[in-house]
This record gives sequence, C-alpha cells and structure tokens, in this order.
Amino acid sequence: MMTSKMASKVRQRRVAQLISGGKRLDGRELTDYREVKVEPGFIERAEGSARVRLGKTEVLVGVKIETGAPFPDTPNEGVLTVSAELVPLASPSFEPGPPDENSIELARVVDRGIRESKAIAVEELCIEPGKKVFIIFVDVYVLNHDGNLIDASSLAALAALLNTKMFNYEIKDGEVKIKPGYKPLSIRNYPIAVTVAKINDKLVVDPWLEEEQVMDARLTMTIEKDGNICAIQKGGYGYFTPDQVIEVSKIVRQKAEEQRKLVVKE
Amino acid sequence: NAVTLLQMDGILSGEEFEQAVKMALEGCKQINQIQKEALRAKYSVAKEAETEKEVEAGEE
Repeated sequence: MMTSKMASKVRQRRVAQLISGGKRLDGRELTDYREVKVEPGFIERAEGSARVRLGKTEVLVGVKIETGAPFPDTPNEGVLTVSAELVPLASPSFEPGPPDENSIELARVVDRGIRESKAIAVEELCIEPGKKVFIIFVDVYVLNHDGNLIDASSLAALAALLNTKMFNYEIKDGEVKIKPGYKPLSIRNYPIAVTVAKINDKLVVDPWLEEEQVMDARLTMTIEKDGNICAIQKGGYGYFTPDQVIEVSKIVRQKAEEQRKLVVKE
Repeated sequence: NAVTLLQMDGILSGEEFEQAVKMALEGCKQINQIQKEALRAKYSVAKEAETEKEVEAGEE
C-alpha cells in the first residue's frame, strides 16, 4: 500500500509539472477535450437514453416519463427531476448507499443546466392543470470514473432528452390512456456544461482523473444555445482569481459550441 | 482577491457575467469594511466598559 501511495505522489507531481509547462500527460493541449463518443438510444426500454464516453469516463443516462401531481406553485407545468448514481463499479472511491454529496452535486449541476435553459417545454407537459402533469425522470449512472463526470453526464443527459419519445395519449374518465404512436419530447435549448480545472495557475479544460487529484479547484459553466451562461458551479478547496473566472467564461463559451455539435445535428 | 465560492442560476450573457463579477468583487470589499468596523465598534465599547469596572473595583 505504501509503495502505491508513494508512486502516485510522484505521478501527481509529474502531472502538475507538465501542466506548468503547458503540456498534459496524454498529449492534449490545455483546452482540448478527450475523444467523445455519444450513443443515443442505448436502452430500448426507456423513453430516452444515451451513453457517453469521454475518454475512459463512461456515463449512461435514462429518461423515463411518468404522470403525477404538479408542484403547487407551477400547476400548469410538468416536472423535471434529475438524479445521479455513482455506481461502485465505476471507481474504488464509490461506496454503495444513499447518494453522497458528490452524486447530489452532479445531479444538481446537470439539473440546473436543463432547468435554467428551459430546454424542456414544461408547459406542454400539462395533462390536467393543478392535478396531473408529466414527470420527466432523468437518471444519470456513472459507469466509469476517469475524471470530469459533470461534462460527460450533462452531455449524456442532453443526448438522452433529444432521444426521448413521448407516447400519444388521451384523457378518458380522468385517466391517462396511452394511444399508439410517439412523438419526440419537445426540446428547445441545448445546454452544454464545460468544466475547467485550475492546476498551478494554469486553466485546464476537461480534467481527467489524475488531473482532478492535483487540481486546486474547478469551475463548471453551462452554456445555452445562444451563448449565455445558465449555470455556474465552483468546486474544490482552492480558489480562482476574478480575472481567471472571467477567462474561464471566455474559454467555456467557445468550447461549448464545439461540444454541442457532437450531440445536436443541424 | 480569491474567489472561493461561486454558483449561479438563471441566464447571463458573457458581458453581463463579467459585469456581475466586478460588482460582486466591489460588494465583497464593502462588506469586508463593514465587518471590520463592526468588530472595532464592538471591542472599543467593551474595552471602555472594562476600564470603568476596573476603576470601580480599584476604588472599593
């Protein structure tokens, strides 16, 4: 155990040293993403699904549609609920059990991107105002953790939503009766989360696992289709200077456009 | 001038965001001043009360 801890300390120093010199262990530029593979419709039984691989990080998102009561303050709107599970097989640091702070943070950041950008047309999900609406469950499963779960999960959630089919229905005797046929879920915005880590005062896009272990802090910004910022989340114990925060916002807005093309076909 | 906590909901354009960061920075500095003054005020009042008590005790 002692040897592996020492070796990893040496490796951590190496990773940080390389970055100070503007290089990364896998040969990427500081602002490059890893290779991304998006597979929509991965789970046939779900209303919508997608698997995303960001380098070796792997995330699966399933979308299910149920009916239920709306929130009292929004009686005519459908409900979005995002949950994330850090599956133990994904990393030696994931334990089974109720969601811990990391999985809650992941769910909330993905949720915020979709919710604040108004990506889902929730007014179209009303069945009976004040009584019955559609509830969209977005369930994120992290299958392998090799860094940057937020960006991978947010990309997978968007791909899954774009892939989601709403069944046709009619109301009979106050009950929802499913009719044959589908139509795609109405998606009006395409939020993309981009995470930037700070390592030795360098800003690094899409940190992988070993870079996350040496970073001072990370900043995730979610950008909607018109280039506006719709969510920000800072994590980690370190800090960013105000100038770095603004620089991150510029880097992110550019990268988000590139990443969006992987999921949204014109 | 270290940003240790940053979260955001809603929609901001890039320019609005930069403006917001500058305003927040200014706001934090002002709050910091108010905090320092509040602390000074509290301890200068307490110090006066302490000195009065010592004088009374001394007289007894």
